[in-house]
Amino acid sequence: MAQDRGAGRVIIPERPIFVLPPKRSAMNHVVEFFKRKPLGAVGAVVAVILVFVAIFANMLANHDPYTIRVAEIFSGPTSDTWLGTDHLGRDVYSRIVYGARISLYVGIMSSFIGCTIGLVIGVASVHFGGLTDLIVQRFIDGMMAFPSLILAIAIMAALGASLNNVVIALAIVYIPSTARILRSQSMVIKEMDYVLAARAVGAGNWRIIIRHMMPNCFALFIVIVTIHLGGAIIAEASLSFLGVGTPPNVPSWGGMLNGAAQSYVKTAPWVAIFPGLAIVVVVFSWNLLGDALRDVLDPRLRGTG
Amino acid sequence: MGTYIARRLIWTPFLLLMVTFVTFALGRFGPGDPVEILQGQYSNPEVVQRIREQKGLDDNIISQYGRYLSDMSQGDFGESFKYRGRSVGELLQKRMWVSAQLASAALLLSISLGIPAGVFAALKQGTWWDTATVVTTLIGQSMPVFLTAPGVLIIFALKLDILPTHGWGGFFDTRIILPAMVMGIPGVAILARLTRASTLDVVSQDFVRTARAKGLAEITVRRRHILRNALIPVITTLGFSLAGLASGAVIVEGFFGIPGVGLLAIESLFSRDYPVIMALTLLGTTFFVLANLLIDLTYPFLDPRIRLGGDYVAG
Repeated sequence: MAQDRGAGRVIIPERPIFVLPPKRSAMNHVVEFFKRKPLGAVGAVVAVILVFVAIFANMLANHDPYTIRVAEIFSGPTSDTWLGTDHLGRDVYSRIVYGARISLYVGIMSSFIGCTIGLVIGVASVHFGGLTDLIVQRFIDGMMAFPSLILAIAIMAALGASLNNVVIALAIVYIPSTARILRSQSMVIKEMDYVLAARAVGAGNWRIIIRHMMPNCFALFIVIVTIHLGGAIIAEASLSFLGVGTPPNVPSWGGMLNGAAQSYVKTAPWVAIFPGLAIVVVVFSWNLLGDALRDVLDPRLRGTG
Repeated sequence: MGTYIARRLIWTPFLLLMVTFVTFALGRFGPGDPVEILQGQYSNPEVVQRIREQKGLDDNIISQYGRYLSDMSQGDFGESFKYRGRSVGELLQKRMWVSAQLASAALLLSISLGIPAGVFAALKQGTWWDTATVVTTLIGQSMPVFLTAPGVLIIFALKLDILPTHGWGGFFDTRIILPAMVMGIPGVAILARLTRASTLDVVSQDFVRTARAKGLAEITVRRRHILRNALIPVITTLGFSLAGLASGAVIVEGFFGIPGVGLLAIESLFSRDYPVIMALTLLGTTFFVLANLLIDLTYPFLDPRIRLGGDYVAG
């Protein structure tokens, strides 16, 4: 080898062959995104506010969201209770602020966990191919055959009402569709030269899946998580509204609309209107953000709505 | 074509077998016991035990499942636990027809509003109309059914007082309007967004330019070249909208007091009414599989380049 130096020598050209574009900071990307997608920017701002409210809920709320005050049942908005009180005299504003925590927690956790499992299943199913792929895909067919809300209700009926059970139920609901979408992406990736190269240097199955195939699904993965997040917030609210989600004392936006809020909507509209508004505004903003992210990161996905 | 359908259909029984077994096992191993729920808080353990034996709930799960399958193959779906003395078939028949009518009305609304709205937005791309349509549909998609339901009730029944709020009178009755509207709105939004996206993809294709260049009337270009191609992904998603409709039905039927399967589904889940749950699962899965097969079969009519058959394509 020592004599044979010429063959493997790296020729360094005097001028660089590639001219790399000037390196742009993260800030530049953000500014660019805001310019190109003003609606998405609005969504991003509301999403940031939601995260802020969720983190600092204990500072922003001016009452304890759980305290029942019988003397102040259904009092309208005042300077003390800004958005009025509900049928147990609990402060609606404080419950909405704490509700942001619940919504965000359930939204992020369920879509992230569900999509991650979907990612692994989708990629692994393509990688192993053949019979494995066939069986896994039939299984996914089976899961997809259940309407999502009914599947979630069934899981909740089996697990019992609790916050983390909502996360589990919704995560399961998001597995099949994510696995399907990422499967089609992986089919393209599988044929790439770098996968072949990895195999050639002796990488094992799971190393190829985790180090080579999954990272290349990442942009798509982020988009899917964002898109599911808005849906997960609605799903949590729907489950709590039906009384099978979070336990009734927990300040969840959907739960706040359940029961008494409906019966007394004519006499005390604020109990129902404000949580309802919170759901619509937040989900709308996430959808705006998800749309914009999808257009920027993966325009091919435009059809997956 | 024939072999393609056969191939797809071969899978169906296996899929159904798998789905029913999982549902069956979940029910039997999950918490909650139908007999105890039925007997209420002050149940007599002896009575509970006797009923359990009568229904064969203490046998091992495989033999229970086997018995269920053999009954089912003879068209016997068992007897509801909750509505004692009534067979599942009898319980479901009327309700299914009701839900099917409601769902068709909602779907009709989604298609007849959503697709034109999407095409309209795409043809006006970049204008104020486009943005307005996009934002409106996104709001429609962000509204949970349990908010739109009271919303339309307040507007059309309470304030305007032009539509009835409650009950069921069949497809050609004014009482179907509000629930169908509530169930249809998310579908309108989703279909409009999808149609817009796929129309945008199609209008920039070469064959559209060619069609215009050879002097076809604009209306012909739009109908024969743009719309027909743009509809393919939209129709694929229709299959999934059906599942979405079923989810909506659960809440909407409760709100408007409609005696359909949605209400029954929730009721049976909470009373652990196994025979009803099983029948609903079976029905739902069969319907979903057949609907998607039907959708696949429409592709060659829209785009003659698509040939069914060849390799089995999942989904």
